[in-house]
Amino acid sequence: MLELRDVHAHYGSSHILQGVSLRVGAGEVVALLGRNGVGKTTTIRAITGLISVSRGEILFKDTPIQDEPPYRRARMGMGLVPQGRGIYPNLSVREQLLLPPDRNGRWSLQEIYALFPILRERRRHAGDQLSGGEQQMLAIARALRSNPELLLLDEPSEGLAPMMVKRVGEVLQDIKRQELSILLVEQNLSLALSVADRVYIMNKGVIVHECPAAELAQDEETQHRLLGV
Amino acid sequence: MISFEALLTHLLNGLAYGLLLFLLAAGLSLIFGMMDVINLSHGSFFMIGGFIGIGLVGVLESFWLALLATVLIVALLGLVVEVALLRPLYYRSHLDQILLTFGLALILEDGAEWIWGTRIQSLRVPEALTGSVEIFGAVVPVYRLAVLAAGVLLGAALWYVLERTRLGSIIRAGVADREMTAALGFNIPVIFAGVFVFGVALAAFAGFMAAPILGVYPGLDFQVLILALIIVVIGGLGSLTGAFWVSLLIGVTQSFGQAYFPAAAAFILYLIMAAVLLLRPEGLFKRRYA
Ligand SMILES: Nc1ncnc2c1ncn2[C@@H]1O[C@H](COP(=O)(O)OP(=O)(O)OP(=O)(O)O)[C@@H](O)[C@H]1O
Ligand SMILES: [Mg+2]
Repeated sequence: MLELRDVHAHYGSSHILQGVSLRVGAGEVVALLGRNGVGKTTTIRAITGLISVSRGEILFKDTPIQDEPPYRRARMGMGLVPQGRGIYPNLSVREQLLLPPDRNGRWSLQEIYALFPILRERRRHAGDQLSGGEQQMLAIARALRSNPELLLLDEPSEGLAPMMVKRVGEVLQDIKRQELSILLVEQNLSLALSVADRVYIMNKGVIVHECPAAELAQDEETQHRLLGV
Repeated sequence: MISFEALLTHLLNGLAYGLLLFLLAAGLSLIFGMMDVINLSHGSFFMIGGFIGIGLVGVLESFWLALLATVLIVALLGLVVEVALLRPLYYRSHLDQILLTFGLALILEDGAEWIWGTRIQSLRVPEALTGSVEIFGAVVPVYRLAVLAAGVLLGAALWYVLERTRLGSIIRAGVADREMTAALGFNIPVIFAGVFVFGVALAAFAGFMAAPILGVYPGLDFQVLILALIIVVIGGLGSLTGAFWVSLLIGVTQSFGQAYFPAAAAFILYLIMAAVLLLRPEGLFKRRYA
């Protein structure tokens, strides 16, 4: 579904991604872990095209996309739940759910409201009137509305109360059953391990570890060494 | 003694003038809100709309055809400016954008002077809209009422499109967060160009409609640009509703000021702007489209 080969990216003169290679198979849920500032968000931005790749290759559904603009990648079937949620303060919940371009699939407005009843209740509220948890649900729901084949989630549990983190975990389990491919960036290790099939750990702009999620769950030494938990 | 009829006449004139300013300020505000570009050449499109309009009325011998053609021609000019000059500057500093758009405004003003001269040119009101009507004893030119109606209708249409259609939500989304909107599948450069050209077309429309009232001359561009900037600043950057009410306020203030305290008319405006900036730096209305 998605493959990064030796991807490099810069912010100005700082070399942030220094050769990232990773794969997400069809229907697979992959977690990308790592401490603060190691380049996880930058990796997501490189995949969505919000930062340009200075070297290397990104394949999406076997097509090289590193030179495609962000909107075309989205229309090919990428959905993004960005860090910080990317909720529009000035659009109502319903407007945000109707925004994504129509790519036919199962995630109709009705289907979304069935999975997120709170969004139906709040449909007339503007984005800035929602709680953090509601915003996160909206961000996920909005990404699903474009019926993506690959869903990119950047720290969906960040800043949420434990109850909401649990809810995010349930939603991700639900989505996982829809045979969607998912790349999940998370700092919350137990949430990541509960949904991921496989994990990559990043450090200073490169992937330093790869293993099945179940294996990392047992491997406290690696958890401690690379994630500081 | 100031009569009621005179007050009403000044009020209606002021409202008509205010609505013309609103059409100009709306484009400026949309372009700023969406692209974060302060387009100092916006007033030039207003002036050019007037000049081209006068020329075309002569050629086409129809006010309405000339209006349509003027808007299309100036919009095309706007498209060229967007693609050739502005697009490379979107990710540069505000200072670069100000220098470029200010430079463009100077060039357009010199160009206009070279083509059309410095004389004030005027446009005759179309046959159908000549004459005056009496409202509660006040004599009001029909053309002013037509400008009022056109301004209100366009303003309402603009509000409807922005607030009630999907295109409107896409534009508001782009105003709030470009990157997210791109990541949702929208071609931001094309949307930018569309908004810019639309804003320019509004300016040209306003400039054309204003020609029979204000006349057209080099210098008009900066005169209206400054008023539009004041409107956008007082109204709250990126707030269309704010721009609407402040435009009316400024139109009416100008109209009364010029009638009763001509020496202080401009001064009053700057005083209002300074007061708003001191008390509410974000403007009277919160930025939230529309
Ligand atoms: N806009 C920017 N300009 C310059 N440097 C940046 C920018 N954004 C991020 N960086 C730097 O790039 C590095 C990687 O940042 P990135 O956001 O990818 O980290 P992250 O792994 O997502 O961290 P976090 O867990 O805090 O979200 C950091 O050192 C950061 O300081
Ligand atoms: Mg991050």
